[in-house]
Amino acid sequence: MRCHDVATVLLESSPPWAPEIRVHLEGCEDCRALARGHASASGLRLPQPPPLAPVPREAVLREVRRRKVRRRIAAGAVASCCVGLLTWLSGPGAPSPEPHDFQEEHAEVFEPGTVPHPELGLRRAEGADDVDLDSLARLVREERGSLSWLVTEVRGYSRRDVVARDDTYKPFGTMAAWLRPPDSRALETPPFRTAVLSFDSQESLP
Amino acid sequence: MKGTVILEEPGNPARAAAAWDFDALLEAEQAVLLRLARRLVWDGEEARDLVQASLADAYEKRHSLKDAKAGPAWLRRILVSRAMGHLRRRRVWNVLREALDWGTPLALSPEEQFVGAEKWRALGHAVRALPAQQSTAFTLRYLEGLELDSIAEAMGIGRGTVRIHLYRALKKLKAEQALEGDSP
Ligand SMILES: [Zn+2]
Repeated sequence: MRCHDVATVLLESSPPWAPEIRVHLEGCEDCRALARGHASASGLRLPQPPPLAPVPREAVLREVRRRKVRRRIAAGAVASCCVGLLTWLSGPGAPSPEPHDFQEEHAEVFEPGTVPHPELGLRRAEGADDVDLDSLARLVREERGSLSWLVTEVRGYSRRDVVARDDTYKPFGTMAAWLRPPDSRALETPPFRTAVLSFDSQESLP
Repeated sequence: MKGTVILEEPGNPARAAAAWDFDALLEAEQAVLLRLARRLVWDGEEARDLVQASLADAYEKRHSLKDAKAGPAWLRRILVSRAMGHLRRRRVWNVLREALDWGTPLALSPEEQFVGAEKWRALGHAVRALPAQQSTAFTLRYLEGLELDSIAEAMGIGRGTVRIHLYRALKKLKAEQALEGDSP
């Protein structure tokens, strides 16, 4: 019998050993040590310390809730990073890709002429002091919540050379081309497009 | 029934049929889990934290348990998996502590201070120093008395791999002389 086979038998059973095992053990110090160790370990009887107090059901459910909150925070942080990345890639002073659709669709809120943040495609609502903040917030939420709108926006960003052609950078001439962030066309690479488009097609399902 | 969580899925008869009582399982198995956790990590406080985390895991995954009869083994698997992660982190932490020579020796756990437990102190230290899988296999086999198949199931590994971990654990414990003096 080989040591490997003897070790298998030793670990699977307990003494008294079969005659062929005993013969091997007599001539093999390694296997004898293993057999002694196995026998010693099998004979261990741990003392029982006083029992531990049980974990209350409420503590378990509290832990479950804590995990949910942690996951939500983590998801929020990831989403913020993505938005931050997109904002950075789009560069400062970039016009929104399709601001006209948004404004035309909600012309009742956006009044032409008064533009607090033209770079965001926003216009001041009628009567700056009596702005209907609730409806504005609702509209912003609705638009922000729309994944297809996000996809359209990403597509818009991914087709522009973000910084070098902005007016702000004109005085710097060709230097802007050297200093601009990485080319936003990276967003058009197949993995990114596949991921975003699959979301898009899921959302457009009935 | 007060405080009972029955898995019920309105409008989903397949899942409703597999309903079981989480609280009943919690009540029936908790003492066993606490004892097992304590033997796996050799520390009462750590064991309690482990059991709480494992029960939270179980609560979150409760829909994956289709057969209530498999509940105890299912809970044990969750606990063993958590315990191995814990043992791995603790081992890395102990190595770091020694490498950085922070000097303060680890306080004895209540298990090691337990009256009449002096002779287990050496064994406890030696088992705690083993790699997570070896110490887990050793504990389940020799301290909990599980068969190799149950150990394999609890650890999520093959029977042959369990044997390898046991073989290595026994060799190391013999080398540390942690098993001396208990020969029958
Ligand atoms: Zn041999």
